Amino acid sequence: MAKYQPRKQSGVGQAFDAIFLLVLVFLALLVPLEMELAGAAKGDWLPGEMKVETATDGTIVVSNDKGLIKRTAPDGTISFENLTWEALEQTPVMQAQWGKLDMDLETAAAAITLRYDYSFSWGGLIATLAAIAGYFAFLVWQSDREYRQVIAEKFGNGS
Amino acid sequence: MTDITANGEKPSSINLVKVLGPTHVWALGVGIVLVGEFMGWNYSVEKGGALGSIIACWIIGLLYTCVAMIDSEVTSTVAAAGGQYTQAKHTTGPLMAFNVGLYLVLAYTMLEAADIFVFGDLIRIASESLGAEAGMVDARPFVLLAVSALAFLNYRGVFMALSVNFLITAVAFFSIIVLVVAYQFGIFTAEPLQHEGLGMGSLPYGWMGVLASFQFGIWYYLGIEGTCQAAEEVRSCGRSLPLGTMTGMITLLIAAALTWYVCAGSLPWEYLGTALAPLYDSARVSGSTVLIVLLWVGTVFSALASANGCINDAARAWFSMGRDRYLPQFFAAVHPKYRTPYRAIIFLIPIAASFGFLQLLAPTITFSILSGLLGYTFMPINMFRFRGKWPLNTIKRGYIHPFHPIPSLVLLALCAATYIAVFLGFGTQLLAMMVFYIVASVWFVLFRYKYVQRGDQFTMAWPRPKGY
Amino acid sequence: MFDFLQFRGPWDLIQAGAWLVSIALLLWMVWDAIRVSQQYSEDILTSSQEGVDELAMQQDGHKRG
Repeated sequence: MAKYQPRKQSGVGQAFDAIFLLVLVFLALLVPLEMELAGAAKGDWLPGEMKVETATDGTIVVSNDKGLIKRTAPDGTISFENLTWEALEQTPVMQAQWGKLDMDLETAAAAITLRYDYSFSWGGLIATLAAIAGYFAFLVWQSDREYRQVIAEKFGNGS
Repeated sequence: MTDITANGEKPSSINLVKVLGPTHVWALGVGIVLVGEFMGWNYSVEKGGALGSIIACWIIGLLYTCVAMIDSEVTSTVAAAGGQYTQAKHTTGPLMAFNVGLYLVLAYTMLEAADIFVFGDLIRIASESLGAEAGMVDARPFVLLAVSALAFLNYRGVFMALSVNFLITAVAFFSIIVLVVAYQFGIFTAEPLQHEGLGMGSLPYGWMGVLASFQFGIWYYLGIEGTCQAAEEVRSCGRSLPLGTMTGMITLLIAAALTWYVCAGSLPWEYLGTALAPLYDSARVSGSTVLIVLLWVGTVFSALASANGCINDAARAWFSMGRDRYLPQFFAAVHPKYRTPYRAIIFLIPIAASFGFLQLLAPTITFSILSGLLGYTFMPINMFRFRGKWPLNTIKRGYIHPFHPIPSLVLLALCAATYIAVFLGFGTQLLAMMVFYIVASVWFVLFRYKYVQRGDQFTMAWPRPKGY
Repeated sequence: MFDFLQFRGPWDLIQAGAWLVSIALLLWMVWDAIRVSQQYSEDILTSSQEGVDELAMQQDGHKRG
């Protein structure tokens, strides 16, 4: 088999290819960020039975069966009612460690009362896994076609 | 080492030089990964609680053991700078190799971006505890300083770069040991470790949270497979590489367990899950100035060691791809004096620096983790094709891993579970990444493959593969 | 607008130093890379081959298989 001589690429072509890949990398990271969909957002969470309401002025009010109330105003300010370490189910050991980290009850409460929601759609999950499997299947299939050319040139035709 | 720039005959070719020993391999592998114990792994606590995190640590440890087994077998036979990229082009084919090369470059470059970001932020934290006003010190000049100084070190020669890495990695590892010993035996601090009081036994999100924490469980070990990037520069590669990789993996398993143990026993999980530098915070809680300073130094050193190793690995992968014309040939240049892939090193600086400037730690880490994960998914494919095309007795292997195909199948299953974990946390970014790799693949097939060398890229002295 | 010109303490000097040193290192690398490109032909710079062990070749005239 005749040896395949790859075309020599011009300097401009080389620069273009390098920049093209660079732009692609930035898009892959920045597009999801711009869409604000990159990370799973956390939602309000309180210990025990939890109830979520939206007040007329747009404040989100989350309360639980033990009287703890968390209010998130439309401008993002958070306030609590009946806030104690016990209401947050923090043991004395935990309280002490929060204290050593220079975080008071309010600051700690802001961190504690946020949790992930792992509910998901089966359709989305299956579509994503199928996309990954399809991608690898395509890679292996296309690579194998190209691989045969490599082997043919390296070892000659016929096996 | 001979300097071919010395007067005399004109050199006919310039290659990378074989100057590294097993300690450098250890420093490269552990150096890249150890930063994962100082930052990043704790996001798995946020995903599934402290108990969930240690379960993820063990299961992902199994994933990496499979990766290391497969890698050792193939690398002990394929010893070249591109690591898994070179394996892919020999066992699977050009398009796969192009993708694997991109996984490597992006996994390492994004990890490097996270490292230098953490470095800059630690300088800022230190300045504020030394009395600077909050907001007065900007982290960016230090981010840039870290990346340019480390790139400079890499530019001037691999031996020096990895010798420095050995030193700073050892100091960082030592700092973890000191912290654990101090807590355990009450040296420097009277604070006890209180796993029970901090609610250790509970799973705040149930088993769903354990699954979700697989995503950042990867961070305990990400990059250990990078040791084979150095293959072309290691003396007696067949012995040094497996030795350096295995000791590296053992170091990491110890470091991961100790880190989890000391952090989970000193910090509430809601805090630990979002902390920037958990080991440093654990030292802060101890109240001992000695420990605080030591862990600050450890964290800084681990970040620098990791960024240094990443510059080394990413540049070698980029360089190897240029050499086979998968990427512009321009990047295939070796510096005649320092014998480093100097153009690849320079080219990757702005990418790492700009992502370091963006200050988005979790998405950058996810970018890195996903690229790593795609690479691990390739490993079983790699193994099946390697054993299928060259059965055991046809070529000489430096190492043969036992129980084939069980490690490959376990690895495949664990990768699938980790994809589900990423889907739960960063579903959109997962899709964006897949779109990125698919677009890049289509571009490669349509516009790039015509420049790629065919037979010449197959450099191993192996017989014709079975069935081709 | 020219806030950054105000001197606010030693950290300003350290920051300025970090900027300067990084830029100097980056410029040196770019300068060295350009210089090397001018001194050597592109064919020699990109002549490295995968799997070639130069020391072994020098020592026993070993040829690549």
